[in-house]
Amino acid sequence: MKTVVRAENLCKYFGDTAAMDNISFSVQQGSIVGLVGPNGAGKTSTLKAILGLTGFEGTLEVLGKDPRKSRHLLMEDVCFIADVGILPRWLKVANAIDYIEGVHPCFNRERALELIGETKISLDKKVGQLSKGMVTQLHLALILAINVKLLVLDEPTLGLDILYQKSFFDRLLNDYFDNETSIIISTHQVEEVKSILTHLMFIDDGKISLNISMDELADTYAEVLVSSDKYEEAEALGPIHVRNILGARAMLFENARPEALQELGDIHVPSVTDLFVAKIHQSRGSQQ
Amino acid sequence: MNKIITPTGKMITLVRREFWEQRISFLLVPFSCIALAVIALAVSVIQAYFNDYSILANLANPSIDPMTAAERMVDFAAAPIEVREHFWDMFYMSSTSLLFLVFWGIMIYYFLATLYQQRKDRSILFWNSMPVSDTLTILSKLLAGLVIAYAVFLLSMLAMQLLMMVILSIYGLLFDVEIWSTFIAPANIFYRFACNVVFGIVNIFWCLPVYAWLLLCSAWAKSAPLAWAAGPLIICVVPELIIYERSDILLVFFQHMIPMWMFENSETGFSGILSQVMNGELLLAAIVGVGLVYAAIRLNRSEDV
Repeated sequence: MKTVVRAENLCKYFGDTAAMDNISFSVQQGSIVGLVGPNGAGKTSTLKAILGLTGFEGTLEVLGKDPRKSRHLLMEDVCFIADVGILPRWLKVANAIDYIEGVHPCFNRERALELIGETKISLDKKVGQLSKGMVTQLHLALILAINVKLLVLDEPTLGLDILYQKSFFDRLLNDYFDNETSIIISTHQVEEVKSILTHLMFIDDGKISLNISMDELADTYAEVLVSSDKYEEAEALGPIHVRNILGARAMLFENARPEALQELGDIHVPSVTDLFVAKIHQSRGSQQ
Repeated sequence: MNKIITPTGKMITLVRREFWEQRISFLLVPFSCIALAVIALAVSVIQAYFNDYSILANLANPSIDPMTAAERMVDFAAAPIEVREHFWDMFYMSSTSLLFLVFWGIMIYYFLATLYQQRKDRSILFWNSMPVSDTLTILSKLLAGLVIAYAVFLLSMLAMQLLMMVILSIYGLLFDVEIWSTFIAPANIFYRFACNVVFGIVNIFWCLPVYAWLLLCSAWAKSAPLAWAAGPLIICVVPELIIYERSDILLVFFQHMIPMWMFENSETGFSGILSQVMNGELLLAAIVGVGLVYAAIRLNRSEDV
């Protein structure tokens, strides 16, 4: 399987704050990577580095190219949506389609018109006349009409209603994604996207605290609902995170023996949110 | 299957993009100016006809003797060709000078704002998500402003002058004078248009240092590009003014920003334009301009938006 993104020792600092603190990772062809982190963790800086939109130190190859030197060539095979509405307010919907058709070799006009036709957006409207959600819908429709090798989405569904969110992720998985395409998606709505992810990456304070495939996740992490009489026994196994639930404790274990956990209570795969909270506490605790 | 898009095809799309964005400056402003000028002339002609004073006399020499409008028209039609040519030269030049000033004003604003504005509204993230290089982006802005927008202004001026000629010819018909020799032939409208085309080509290189400097400030400044553009000039000019009580730097800067010399040589046509600028200064301006364009391409900030 081809490596689409290869990052080694990436560093970027804003004053004393680390946006990327010597991070290394790779993304394989045909994977959907969820990049999850709290605000200011370095998600957007990492994505911008991949897109050649910010300077950094370290080695980074995206589809075999250095994004710092070949951004415009890279963009023939990479598409992205930033975390805020970035379509200019003066641009008409029809002009946006004409523009992308005029500069992007992989743009499918009919597909874009079909996707826009499913919304309430009319072609003669300017971006400034659309609601925030409609601007996002328009941008997503335009991007989904471009057939590229790597799609980078930074909070793509921010401001969208639940119906469109659901339809977007369904479409992303069913119509857009194939084994040739890779997707990196940064979002806070992790539970919405977890069903489509093949890999999960947590980032906090510019460091990667978890980089794991979803298959490995189920093998590596387990959450057990422990009753009060088995707290001490469970604590002895070293849970990485504990939370109280209705008189019991949900304890999250990393690389624990399943047979040992079975005696403590019900075992299930932790939610991405719980795992995220656990790993962030763990990494921050180890730093202190 | 992917389409093949040539650099020329991309450039055409990028220039169209500039016109979508600058629709008011590049299209509505010149068309509005034409409409205003033509309407103003039409009203003046109607007023002149019904109040029995000559629009020709008023334009040529307001302090002339109290001839009637008809007498003035006959007098003008019988004047030597050089007199008629000079009169129409002055008339059409003054009618287009406002459009030229508007054009230069728009160019100054355009080059100073264009790259800065797309960082300010963060749309640069959208533009940079497309396979378009910084070189192509910046060259498209220069092409859109200095060539295509100039061409729109020139064609607008031609349309305006032709409309004015029609109005004046109708006015002339009322006095039964020969239209061709009085209003059309001596006006030399198409020759003047050709001069302006040559001027526009020369102007690209003549004005390039100033416009490229504005573009560089627009590409680089995190805030207040005007301050960055004017700051170094002020730093150079103030000591010069204090020491010499005049500023050659400021003079040269303004000459290359608003080339007023074109009006000074309008009567001499092609030769006037070429003799004025075909010298070392034009070559130097072109070299400095190209250098500044290169710097603008290299320094075009897309970081930290």
